[in-house]
Amino acid sequence: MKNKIIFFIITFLLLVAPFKTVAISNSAKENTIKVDTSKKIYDFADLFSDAEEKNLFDKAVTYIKKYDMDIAVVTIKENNKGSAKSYAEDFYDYNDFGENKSKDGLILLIDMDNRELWITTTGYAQLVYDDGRLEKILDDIYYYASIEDYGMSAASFIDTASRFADLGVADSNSNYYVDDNGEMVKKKSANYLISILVAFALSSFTTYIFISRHKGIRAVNEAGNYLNKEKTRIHMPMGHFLTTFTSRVPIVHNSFDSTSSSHGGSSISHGSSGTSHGGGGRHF
Amino acid sequence: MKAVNHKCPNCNASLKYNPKSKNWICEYCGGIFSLKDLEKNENKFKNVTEKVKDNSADMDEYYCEDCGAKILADKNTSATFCVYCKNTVLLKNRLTDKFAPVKIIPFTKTKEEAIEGFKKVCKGKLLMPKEFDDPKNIKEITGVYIPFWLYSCDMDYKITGKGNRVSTWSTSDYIYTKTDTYQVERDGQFSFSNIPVDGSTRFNDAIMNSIEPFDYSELVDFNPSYLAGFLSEKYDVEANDAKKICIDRAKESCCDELSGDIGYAPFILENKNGEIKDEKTDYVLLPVWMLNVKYKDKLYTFAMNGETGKMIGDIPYSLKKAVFTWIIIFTISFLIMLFITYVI
Repeated sequence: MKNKIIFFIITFLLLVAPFKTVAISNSAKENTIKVDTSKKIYDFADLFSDAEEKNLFDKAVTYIKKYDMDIAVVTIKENNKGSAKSYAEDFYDYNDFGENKSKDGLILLIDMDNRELWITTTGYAQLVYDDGRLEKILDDIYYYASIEDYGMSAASFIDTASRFADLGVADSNSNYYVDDNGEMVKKKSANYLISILVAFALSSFTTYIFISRHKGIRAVNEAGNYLNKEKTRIHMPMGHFLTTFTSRVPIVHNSFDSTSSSHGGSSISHGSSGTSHGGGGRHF
Repeated sequence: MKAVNHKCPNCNASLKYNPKSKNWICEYCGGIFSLKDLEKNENKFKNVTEKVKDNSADMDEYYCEDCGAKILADKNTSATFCVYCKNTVLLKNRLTDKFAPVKIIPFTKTKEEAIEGFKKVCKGKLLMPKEFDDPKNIKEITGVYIPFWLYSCDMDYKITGKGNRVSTWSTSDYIYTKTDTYQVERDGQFSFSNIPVDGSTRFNDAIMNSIEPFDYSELVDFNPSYLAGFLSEKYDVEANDAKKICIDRAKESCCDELSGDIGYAPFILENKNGEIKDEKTDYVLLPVWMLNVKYKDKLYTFAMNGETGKMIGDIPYSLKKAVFTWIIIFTISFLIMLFITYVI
C-alpha cells in the first residue's frame, strides 16, 4: 500500500512538473516590462541626465556595430522579479535582445530596489566576458555607483566592455564555443603538453619502481622487530606552552549565482526562458 | 694440528647434518643418527698441539683426520672442508673457551632449496638480463654458520622537541588559523630481546641485516655436530663493538616509538637520551646459505636465511630493457592521456 502511494506521488510530480515550468515561464514573460529594443538605454529609475542618456546611446550603438554584440543599460526603482539577476535575464530574453542566432550581447542593470549592480551575458558574450573580466568591469562601475554618479557608472560599463571585446574570447574560455542556441560547449581537443608531462612522469616513476625492486640488500638501522611490546611503556607527551600566532585570510564575497555551473572561466546558468547566461553582480 | 671430524659409528665414514630430518646421515652406509647418538660416541676434544705457522699470512695449518691432507684455514674459520676428500673438518680449538657459541640455530633449508630460492627471488624482475637466473651461473653455494652477537637490554628513553597544534575557524569575512607552539617531552620504558649483529668482518652487514629476522625459538644449545657439512666462522668483532651497533638500533626504535602519534604536527626533535639497564650479550651461530653468482664477468652475492628461507640479493637490470620499458609505458600513457584530455 505504502509503495503504491509513493508510486502515484512520483507519477503525479513527473506529469505536473513540465506544466509548472511552462506556467512559471509564462508568468515571468507576462510580468517583464516590454520595451523598444532599439533604444538600448532604459532609465526607469531616472538616474541619468538627458545628455548622459544620449552619450550612453551613442556608445552603445558604436559598440554594437563594432563587435556584433548587443548591449543595453537598464535602471529600475522597483524590482518585481525579486533578484537583480532574474530581472536582467528576463528583460534581455523576453524583449528579444541579442545579435545573431545565439542572441549575443550583455546588459547592465542598476537595481535601486536591491541596491545591486548586475551584468548578464548571453551567447558569444559569455565567452568574451568570463568571471574575471566581469569582476574587473564591476570594479570600474562600482566606484561611480558608490558615489551616486550613475551616468559615469554606465559609461564606464560600456567602455570597459569594449576594451575586453577588443581582446576577444577570454583565455579561460578558449576551449569553448557557443552553439546556435547560445549554449557554451566545450571544444573537443586533446592537450598534448599535459599528456607528454603526465606520460613522462608516469613512465619514469614506473621504471624507477621496477629498478628499485631489483635491490634486495638494505641496511637496517632500527630494531623494531626485537622490541617486546608487552614490556613497552610509553607515557603521554607533556607539552609546555611557548607561543601562539594567529593569522587570517579575507573571504572574497561575490554575487555570482550559487546555482550556476562552471564552464571554463564563466559561471553559467539558465534564465526562466531557458536561455543560457553568464553574469555577476555586486551590491553598492 | 689435527682437525676433528664426525665419524659414522657404523662404518667410520664422515657424517653430514641433514637440515630436513634434523639428523646426521652417513652417505656410505645410510645410517641415520640423532644428536644423542653422536654424543654417546663422540670423542672428547683432543688437546691442542703447538700450532705450525704457515708461510701464508693469517693462515693456520691443519691435517685432515681422514686422509692426512694439509688444510689451510684462515684465523676465523672454525669449520671447513678438506679439498681432497671433501669431508667436513671442525677446528675445535676455535670453538672453545671464549669462542664457544652459547647457542646455534641449525640449518632447516637445504642447498637445493637455496637454489630454488635464488630462482624465486629472480622471478618477476622484468628488467633482469636474460639467463641471469640460470643455476649454471651459480659459481659457489656454501652453507655457513655465521657468528652473531645477540644483544638484549632494557632502555629508559626520553625525547624533547618543539611541536605545533593548529586550529582553524571562519567567520563570515575571514578564515582564521591559530598556531600554538609547545615544548614537548615524552619518555618510555622499552625492552629489546636478541638484536642481532654479525660478528664477522668477512660478511657484509647489510646482507646480514637483510635476511633478518631469525626465529629464535629454534635456538638450541651449541654442539659442534651441527657444523658437519657446513662452513663456520668464529667472531672477529668483539662484543663491545657489536654492542654499540645494537644500542644505536635500539635507540632509533625508541625514538620512532616515542615520536609516533605524539599529537603535535609538525614535531621537531631537539634532544634524545636514554639509560640502558639489564644488558646481556650472547654469542651464537646462525645459518646462512651464501651464493656467488657470476654473470658477464661480474660477481653477485646472494644470501638465504638458512632457517626461514628468506633470500636476498641485488639483481642486475638490463639498461636496454629499462629503456624499452620506459618507452612502452610512455607511449601507452601518452595515448591514454590524449584520449582523456580530448573527452573531458
